[in-house]
Amino acid sequence: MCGIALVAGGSPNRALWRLMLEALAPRGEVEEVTVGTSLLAGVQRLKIVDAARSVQPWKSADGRWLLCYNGEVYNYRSLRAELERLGCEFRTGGDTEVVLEAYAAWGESAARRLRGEFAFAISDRATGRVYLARDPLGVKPLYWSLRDGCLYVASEIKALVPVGAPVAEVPAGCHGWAEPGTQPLLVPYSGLLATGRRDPGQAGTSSVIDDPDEAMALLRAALLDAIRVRVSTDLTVGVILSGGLDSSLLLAHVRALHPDCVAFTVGAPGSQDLDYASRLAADLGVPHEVIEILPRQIRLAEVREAIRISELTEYGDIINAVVSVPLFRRIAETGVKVVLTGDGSDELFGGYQMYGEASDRQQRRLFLHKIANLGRTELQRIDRTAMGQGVEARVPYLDPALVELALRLPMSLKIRDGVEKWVLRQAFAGMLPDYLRLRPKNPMSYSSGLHERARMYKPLFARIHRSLGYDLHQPVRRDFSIVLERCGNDLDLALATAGLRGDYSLREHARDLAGAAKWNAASLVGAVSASARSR
Amino acid sequence: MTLWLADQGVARSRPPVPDFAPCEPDFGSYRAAVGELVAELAQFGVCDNESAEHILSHRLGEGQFSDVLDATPGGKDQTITRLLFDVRNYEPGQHANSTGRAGSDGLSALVRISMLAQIDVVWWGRKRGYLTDRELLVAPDLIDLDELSDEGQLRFRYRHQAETLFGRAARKAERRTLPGRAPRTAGMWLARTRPQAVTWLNQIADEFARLAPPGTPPLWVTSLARSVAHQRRLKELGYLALLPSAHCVGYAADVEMAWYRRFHAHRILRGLLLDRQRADEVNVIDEGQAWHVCFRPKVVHGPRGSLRGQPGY
Repeated sequence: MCGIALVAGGSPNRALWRLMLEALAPRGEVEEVTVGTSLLAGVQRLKIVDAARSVQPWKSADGRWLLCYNGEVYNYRSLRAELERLGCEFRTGGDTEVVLEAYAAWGESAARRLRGEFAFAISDRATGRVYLARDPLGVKPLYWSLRDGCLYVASEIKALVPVGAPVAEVPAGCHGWAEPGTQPLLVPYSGLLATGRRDPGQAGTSSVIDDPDEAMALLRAALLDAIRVRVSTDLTVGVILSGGLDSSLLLAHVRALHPDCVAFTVGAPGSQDLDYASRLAADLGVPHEVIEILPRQIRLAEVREAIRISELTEYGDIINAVVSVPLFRRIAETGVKVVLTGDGSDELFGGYQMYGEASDRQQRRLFLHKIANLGRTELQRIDRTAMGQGVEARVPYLDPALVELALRLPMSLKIRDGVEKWVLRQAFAGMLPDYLRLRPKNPMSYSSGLHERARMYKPLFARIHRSLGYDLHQPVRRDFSIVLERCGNDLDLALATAGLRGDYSLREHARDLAGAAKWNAASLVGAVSASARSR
Repeated sequence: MTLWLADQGVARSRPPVPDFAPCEPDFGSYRAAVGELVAELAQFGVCDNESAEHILSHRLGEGQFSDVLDATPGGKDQTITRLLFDVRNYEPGQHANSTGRAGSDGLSALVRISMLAQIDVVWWGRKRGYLTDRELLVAPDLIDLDELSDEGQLRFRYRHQAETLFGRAARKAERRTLPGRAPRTAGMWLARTRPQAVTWLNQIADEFARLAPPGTPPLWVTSLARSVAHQRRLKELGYLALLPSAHCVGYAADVEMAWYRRFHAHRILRGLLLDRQRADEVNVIDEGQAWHVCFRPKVVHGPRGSLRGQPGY
């Protein structure tokens, strides 16, 4: 929804703050600022909820609190009603004001009441303190940096690079205060993943749901509700449709809940994704926009742009970003500002067959680890590549209620008889045609046919990343999924190994490049022979 | 909620209706029924979304609406769902172009315009629109109005949207100092349309010039082809911009109406447009300041007018 740029404490450097705001310009349509002697606050705002009146930075009626807010809180209407009963008076119809009033009424515990995807900074103008908070799974980003007694807070790393000091992330599900001139003390407020770390049925956790019928009924209700709140807009809603199970279910629901939806699919011509997606969209009668990309269209400039926009640190994520950038660019061109994606479902419902051989307890740890890291991997890719084009991506599968439900399901319901996401397939068995329901999962860029081309540039990723100054946050490092695989899915061993071994060695890069070159050459030869035969 | 695929199989797209449907719905009866429906909403003083939605959900299933709504690409159910959605989400003063009035007036206008626009949808809703501004700019089946204007081939007026800060300031100054000099319109984002539309508008402009009182300015066209993306932008800005829209396939135009009141020429223009509607050439919708005109397929596929040097002419 927005990009935040805030400088607090000391003598804020106005020129630096302007650079921060400029770096975040693609995240919004309008720039709104508040300038004080020891506080510079600005927001690049994408106007979606109460577009005209929810101006930012939002000030409390007494002027003491100032909110810079990025995200969507979907239960803001019920929170507003509750706050009105407490005597709060509202000036707008949007969620921004509700967030600040909730904080004023309930203090730091307000963060637990917000249902949605958010990251915000509240400045106490009387004391100069700044409060930071981020949603439980890290859908919306928030970073900070400290230099010369000034705290710099921004939605993206690129906005903090000009500060020239180390950049830290506000971890998902954490909040806390920064006293003037000091770094923020951030602590977890969300028990979502902490609950999940305990075994189901253990003290302090909700009960396990091992009855398949009950699990499926709850799953149907939770997914419907998660999607319903996210399509509550009169704007056109886009759905990223890969043609796989998760995005197809999403489109089916959106089609039933919102009369103006459109599906978007990206891929190489002739790829499986396009075939499945086109068939489903036609069956549903949903307008379908296909973004066809030829492998040869992925060049160094596209790879560099993907790294610049996405700020990602793992190779697989960067390759996916190379495909996501043109996808969201096209979505923006069509005037669609809100899209839903199917991300998170694999992590919640066992979409990774590779964990099949691990023990139940180990599998649970692995899934939790993946969920906890989404904020710096898939969710970061989606946020940056979408907001970089002024498109807001929403992730219904990562709705806290759905996550909580998924954590109560035993692995035996998620992977059964070698079928991944078994419970999800069964729950919606009557909703999707078999050609989609039984389609095995494919990682995004593999099935869109573009991965191998982007792989050719892998040896350059780290250098490009460094040249952009992003190593002030973190350097590019080897893919954790590969480390994990090589460690036999032993999470502790993989974490220790990843800590010791950062990036790939030259030899590993050379081997990978040779593999990619071989694949691309074979593909080229195949295309030439097919062309000759057709003549 | 209907979870559609559960028991319906997978093939639900309606068979396409050809441009020249042999048994076209009776649009005249439909328009009359829409008029009665809107009058009913006004008569009961319905000004809240819930009551309007309640009445519409009962009335729209009736026979006088079925033929037209059934012939839309999404079919009756989908179209009604869409109309009810718009009514549910309507906020007084929301639509800057036509339904900015509060209470029942605004809601009635929303219902009337949305219902009448379904005729456009029956005609053109199956045709893929120009999705982006870029697509519209390079579309070979559209022509550039500026070029035609330079060649002296236009008998009507139009103007572009002011793009720069200076341009907008100049427009504002003009509206203040010379309030009647030009219509209160933002101007066109992209001045392109189909040649058939220009031919038709030229004919209307000629007739209007002949019949209007002396001193009346020529016909003023406020909008022609628009991309789907632009239509979505207009909706975000608070305009009643429906999708699908005949503007997005280049077969619609908006003609200034309110401005001609000061020249006592608006009744003449209104009569001209409604005559063409009675002749089954166009669908006309009163949107307040401007009137929307959508060209019927047989008109644009019939004998073409002449525009020198244009493709296909």
